[in-house]
Amino acid sequence: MAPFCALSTPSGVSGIAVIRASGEAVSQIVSGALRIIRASGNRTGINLTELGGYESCYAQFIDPDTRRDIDNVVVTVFKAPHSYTGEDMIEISCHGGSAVRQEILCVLNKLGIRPAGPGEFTKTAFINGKLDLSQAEAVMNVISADSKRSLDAANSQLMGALKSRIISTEDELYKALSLIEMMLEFPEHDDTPENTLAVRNMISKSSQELSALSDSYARGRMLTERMKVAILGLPNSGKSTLLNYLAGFDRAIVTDTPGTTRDTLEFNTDIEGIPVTFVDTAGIRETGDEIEAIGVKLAGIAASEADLVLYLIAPTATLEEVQETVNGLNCSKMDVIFTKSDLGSNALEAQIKEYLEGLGVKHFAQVSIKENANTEAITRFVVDAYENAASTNAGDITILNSRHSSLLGQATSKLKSSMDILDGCLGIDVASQVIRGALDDLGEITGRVVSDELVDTIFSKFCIGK
Amino acid sequence: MNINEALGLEHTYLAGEYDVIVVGAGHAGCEAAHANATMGLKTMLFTLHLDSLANLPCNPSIGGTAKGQIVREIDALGGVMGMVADKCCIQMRMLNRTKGPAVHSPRAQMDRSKYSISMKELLEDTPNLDIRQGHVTTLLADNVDGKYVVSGVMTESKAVYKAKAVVICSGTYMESRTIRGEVIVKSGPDGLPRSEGLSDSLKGYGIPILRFKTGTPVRVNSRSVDFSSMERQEGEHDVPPFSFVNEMNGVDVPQEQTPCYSVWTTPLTKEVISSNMDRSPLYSGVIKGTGPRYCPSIEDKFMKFSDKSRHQIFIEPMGENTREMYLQGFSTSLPEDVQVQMVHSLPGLENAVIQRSAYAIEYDLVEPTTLKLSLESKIVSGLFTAGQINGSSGYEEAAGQGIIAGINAGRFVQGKEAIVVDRSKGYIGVLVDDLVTKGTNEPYRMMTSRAEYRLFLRYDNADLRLTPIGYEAGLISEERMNAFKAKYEAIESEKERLANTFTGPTPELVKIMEEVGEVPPNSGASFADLLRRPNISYDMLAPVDKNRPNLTSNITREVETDIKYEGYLKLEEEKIKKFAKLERKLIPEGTDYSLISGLRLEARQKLAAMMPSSIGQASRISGVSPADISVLLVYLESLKGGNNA
Repeated sequence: MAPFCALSTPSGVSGIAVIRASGEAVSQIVSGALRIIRASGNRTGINLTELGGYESCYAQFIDPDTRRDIDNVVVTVFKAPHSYTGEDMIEISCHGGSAVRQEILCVLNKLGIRPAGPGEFTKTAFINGKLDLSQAEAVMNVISADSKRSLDAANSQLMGALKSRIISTEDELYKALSLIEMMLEFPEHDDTPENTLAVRNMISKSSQELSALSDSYARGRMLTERMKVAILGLPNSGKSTLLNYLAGFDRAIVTDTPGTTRDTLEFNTDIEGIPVTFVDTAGIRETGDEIEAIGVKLAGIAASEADLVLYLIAPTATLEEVQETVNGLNCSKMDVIFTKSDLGSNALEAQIKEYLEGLGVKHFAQVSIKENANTEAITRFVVDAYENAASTNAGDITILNSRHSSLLGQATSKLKSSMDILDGCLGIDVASQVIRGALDDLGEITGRVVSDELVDTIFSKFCIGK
Repeated sequence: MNINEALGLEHTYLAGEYDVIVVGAGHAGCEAAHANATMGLKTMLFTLHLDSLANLPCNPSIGGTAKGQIVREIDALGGVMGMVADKCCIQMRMLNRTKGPAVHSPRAQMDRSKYSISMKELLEDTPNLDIRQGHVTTLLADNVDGKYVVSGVMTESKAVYKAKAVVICSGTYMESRTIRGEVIVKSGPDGLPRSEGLSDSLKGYGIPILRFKTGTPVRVNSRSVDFSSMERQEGEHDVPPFSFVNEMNGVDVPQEQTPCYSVWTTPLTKEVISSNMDRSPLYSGVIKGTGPRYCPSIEDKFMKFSDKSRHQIFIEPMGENTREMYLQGFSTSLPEDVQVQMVHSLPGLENAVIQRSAYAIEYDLVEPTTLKLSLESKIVSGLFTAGQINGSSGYEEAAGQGIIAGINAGRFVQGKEAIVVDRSKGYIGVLVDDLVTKGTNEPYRMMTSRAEYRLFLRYDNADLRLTPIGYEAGLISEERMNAFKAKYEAIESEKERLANTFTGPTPELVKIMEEVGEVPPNSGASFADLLRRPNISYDMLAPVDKNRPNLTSNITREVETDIKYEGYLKLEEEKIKKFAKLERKLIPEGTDYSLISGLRLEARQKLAAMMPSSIGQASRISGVSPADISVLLVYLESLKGGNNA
């Protein structure tokens, strides 16, 4: 294929950047822009085409027209088929400034290496049989994974863990189907009720496995899209103080004047490997101030979008105030923090707690940021909310992709309806068709069913470069 | 060899000239010949023996799971099997009644000799059709620019016939031999003459020839059988006829029906078989052809399913005017003397008198993957094959291919585009596509599980699926087409009426529903809604549905199925749409797969050999992976875009 190239590290400023190029004779083409200083095996005075697969060299990258130096780079050579795309490839590690990267890419284009289309590296890898669909999708998650946990989950998916798990469920379902088919094809012979029971058990087991996998996306989504934790509470309950504490610097303006925070403020951090966005909100109260009122409304939205709401209550808050402000909030995902415990505890704490427990709140803590007392409760609340978002039945596999999750969900519901059909009297032929439908869904993940839209959709979702 | 070369041989003579010549008058050949003649083409049908036309040399029944649906499909296309089967039926049953509409399968016992005579009579009365006893030994073809084009056939008696198209339906007769233990006879089934030379003639054109094996059980005289301790299986009267013409004219299945019986093998049966296994040609290696897994010989059943201590055997009548009975499930290639002991080990058959021995039979066939979906050979233009010569098994599978090969041979002569029944339109489509796309390494039997769209491929709507295709081919009369349209208008308007007619929870309705354990609706509900309840049938609602039109059960059955399974049928329709999209993505003829980078070597070779007509067909070739299909899709896209893949 005609060679193509792209920046494969994120586009922001970084120490180094990596530019990749893939295609026929790519080494030869790029050799025109390199003056090799030293190569693997301490060789000097050689050309890039003399390097074997997995060998690299330190070189000056020059503009072949003007002979001007652009950057000092390290170039690694990959030979087909032993490369990511399965074609000849090179990787140029250069300095991370955007001007340098741009100039190098311009030179490559000038030499006839065109810019890659969206997802073209992965698409090429897929076409050359280097990846199956689920692996291809996982690659995208590897790139956007910005914390350790995401990387682990994405890596295990990359290794085909998800696929092998689904294939083993598929096998079980095929077994169940073959029993049904036997009853249908040879009605005069092997028609025994024991078989129906066996089929039902197999399907029930498969359905539970798939449902657990699908549910694990509740966590996977937090890993790929970040977990959102909204900090809510009455004005001046210490929300911004908490955010600043988590940030480690003054992200929010803190005053003693209630209603200081009007907009929502966000801060990204990493809590025990979980990528978390904390959202500080305006204190919830009836207010005549128009801007503050908008802030209060935004707080409500932030709470509804959040995976976890930390509801802060200052020692001075009354039960009525709490009742008014939690009104309309989803208490099932709410943990409550009694703040400023250094100023003494809230006199009404017991009543407030009882009231909130009645609404479904389960976790409470007393925290003083000022005295750094019990601040680990916050970490615990975040980690617990993450852990409890999905059952642990999926084992070490976390679904990172919403498409996978919805396909698994669809398959699960089809299997459930097939069990209803087996229990009722619509006929096992209908049940069999429904089970096949579930297998079609699974096949869309393992790549066993082909639909061209699917291929197109997936590849158009990829960012350039990988 | 071409016509002139044939006429140049000693004693040969030009005996006639036809549009289409059909070789072999079994179930495939009869359908093909009838179709061609009905299409107005001058047709000749050759048979090795006129008294064994449309023979049922194995079990005396037509239909069964998936096969019953095929018979209805053949009939919907304008074929004859259903008509003749209805006429010769001595027992009719609907299999899988309790298991949902998709697998309801009619099955009928045939009066075997009546079937043969009736088919002969029907074909003799068909205009444009000549029938002749003759042994075709040579296919004649011209070499036109390096490609063979059919030009006729030559018989053993030196007669040379010209033809524009030839359909070969040689069944199990090509170079066949029957085997009973150590006794091997060069013979066709039932002691009939075999076909010699034709297989070599095909090989001469480069057509690959395979060899399969099948078998048949013994026949006994019912006078010598004690039925008193056997389980008796009666026929059923509420089964619709196979043929839509009979359905249309209100002709029902016969009231007088002959029973079948069943027994189980005994420990003695097993012992007789095990102690004689050394004499089994299957196990000694005498039989080299591949046998069918789904229809194993009794010794195979005992050897391969050794955990089962006994097997069920069905005893079926061969006709009304004969005492011959067929032992279904008891086929064997063990020697004749062992067969006697085996039969006598069965309860009630201790003194049975055998009238015909069981035997295994080996025969030549062509590699079906060398065929197009029209059943025309990719190697010899104008040559079509159908039935067991393509690797299938069963009368119905043969006849289904016969009518497709017949229609397409006719259209070849007419210069029209071939008609392909696809996988979403019928079991016939599944059958043909499986054979030519995937090939087979054993005699291929149709099963309902082979069909992806089984809920849609029902026996009751076969006419809806295929009558328009039969009409297009010229096999369906105007009268029948009008009756067909009227039937479906009646179905649609009744469905609409049921959806728009409402009833409250009247005491009468409440009583009906509670009787079958259904909770009556709180307020008004349409009759369609009520019908969707699993335990409610159309007939049950009759007392509360006062303005119901008077419709036949053939209509109400489909109305009921359509409404009850509406949700599932809709899902199936969605899938069919998706399927059709890939079937419509055509791969240009002459595509050079070696130029498509990214295809794996195996896929490249398979695709080049198979020349699939569409992405859909390509995706079903074994050895072509989903990734290869993605590559093909990308390639087709790039052709559109004008850049290189």
